[in-house]
Amino acid sequence: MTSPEAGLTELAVRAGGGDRAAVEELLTRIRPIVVRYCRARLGRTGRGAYTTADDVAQEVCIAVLGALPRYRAGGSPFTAFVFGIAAHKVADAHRGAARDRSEPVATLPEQADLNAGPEARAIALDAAGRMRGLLERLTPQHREVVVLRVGVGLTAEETGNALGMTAGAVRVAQHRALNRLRALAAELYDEVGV
Amino acid sequence: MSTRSEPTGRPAGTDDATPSADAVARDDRVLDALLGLTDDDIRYDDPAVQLLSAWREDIVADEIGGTGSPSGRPPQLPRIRRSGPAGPAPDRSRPRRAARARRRSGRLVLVTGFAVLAAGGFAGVAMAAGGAAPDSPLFPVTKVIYPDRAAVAEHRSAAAADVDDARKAAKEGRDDDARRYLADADKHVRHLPDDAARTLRRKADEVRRGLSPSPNGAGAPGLTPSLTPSPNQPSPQASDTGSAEPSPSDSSAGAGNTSPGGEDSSSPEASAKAQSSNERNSDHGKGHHRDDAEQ
Repeated sequence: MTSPEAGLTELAVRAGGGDRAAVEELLTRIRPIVVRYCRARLGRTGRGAYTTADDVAQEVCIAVLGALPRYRAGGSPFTAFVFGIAAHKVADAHRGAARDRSEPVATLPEQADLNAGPEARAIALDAAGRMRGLLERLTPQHREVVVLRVGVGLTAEETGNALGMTAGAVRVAQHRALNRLRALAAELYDEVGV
Repeated sequence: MSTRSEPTGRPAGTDDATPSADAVARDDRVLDALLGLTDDDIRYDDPAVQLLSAWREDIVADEIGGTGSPSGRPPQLPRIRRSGPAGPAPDRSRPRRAARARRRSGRLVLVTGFAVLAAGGFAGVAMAAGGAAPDSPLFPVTKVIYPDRAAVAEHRSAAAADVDDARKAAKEGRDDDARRYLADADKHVRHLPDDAARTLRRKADEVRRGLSPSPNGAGAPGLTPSLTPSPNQPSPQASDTGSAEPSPSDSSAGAGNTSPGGEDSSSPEASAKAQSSNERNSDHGKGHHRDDAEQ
């Protein structure tokens, strides 16, 4: 299975050099992981849509393209470069959300919804919302590890590259984060009587 | 290989100072299995892993440019759903339902529009029919909606036609026909309101003044029965019996009428006879003669 990070650094170097095909491919490859990162960090907003997170992801992609000429292959991995930009954009979005009182509504396309039904979807949304609340109670480092490892779907090695950690350190951090989540989940289920 | 995620049993909220390698590796395998990075069969007995799985599914659901698979890896070349060969089959039923709904909505708009136009048209026709004359195409509507107005219009039209016929007959010298027309006009004028009746009576009187004296005393100005109703009783001169034939020369005096037989109508016998005859034969009321005689 090919890692999403594989070849990104070389691709970024070519894109930074003005290769339009490389720019296009780079954008195609980083966009999904940026979207997941922003969704994992920002969650659903407004009426339960990922509108804000997806908008921020778009801004991150544009910012990455603008910053490409400044990227140097000898420095940090390109994923760390991307997630660094994304973290700043997410922080800006959090600040902006505190001032924004609008409730954007996504335009629903006329196509089949192949996902779960309303009841299962509501349960899943409830569980996702609970998980999001538990993540806020983790330490920033553990939260970032869980976001990249589970939310974005990176391997321990890729997460380590993005965060400047070793894979072993990531595994230990995720183990501690899981333990903390288990404890918090137990408290949560005790509260709701499950 | 089966990986079972189990709580470690450690106190809640505590960070291990030295976590065991097995526990760290087990959690790493659980997460890899959760992401689909391995083929391990993971059983979500761990509530925290269940919540993480739901959170993960929520993130990748309806992902723009993503795989749409909760456990799938980020794609090397993301499939674009609209044109991707492996994308979901387009739902044909929903557009058809939407099209049918649009067609139904269109029909409803058409029916509603026609109903509004029909209602507006009927209101306009009803308003126009309020003043329609008998020769108007709308007069049948008037007879249905405004029967009183229709009756008045019919009488007015008939009276006007009778007066016109009487005028025409008088010009042609057919005085008897003219008188008959005027009598018919009088029947219709009785059903008219005062304003319309006054105008028609004036026209009828103009025609009547132009008539030659009739053998029965009608038609001569001042002596003929007027269409104008009068509360007074008729004068004793008017009679169709010929016994009280009025004379134009005597009309202003109102007396001294002489019958063809040489009888003086001013005599008590002649007056009584004339009045009796008038009461029997007059078609148009009995109070008209005195007014004309006074003229």
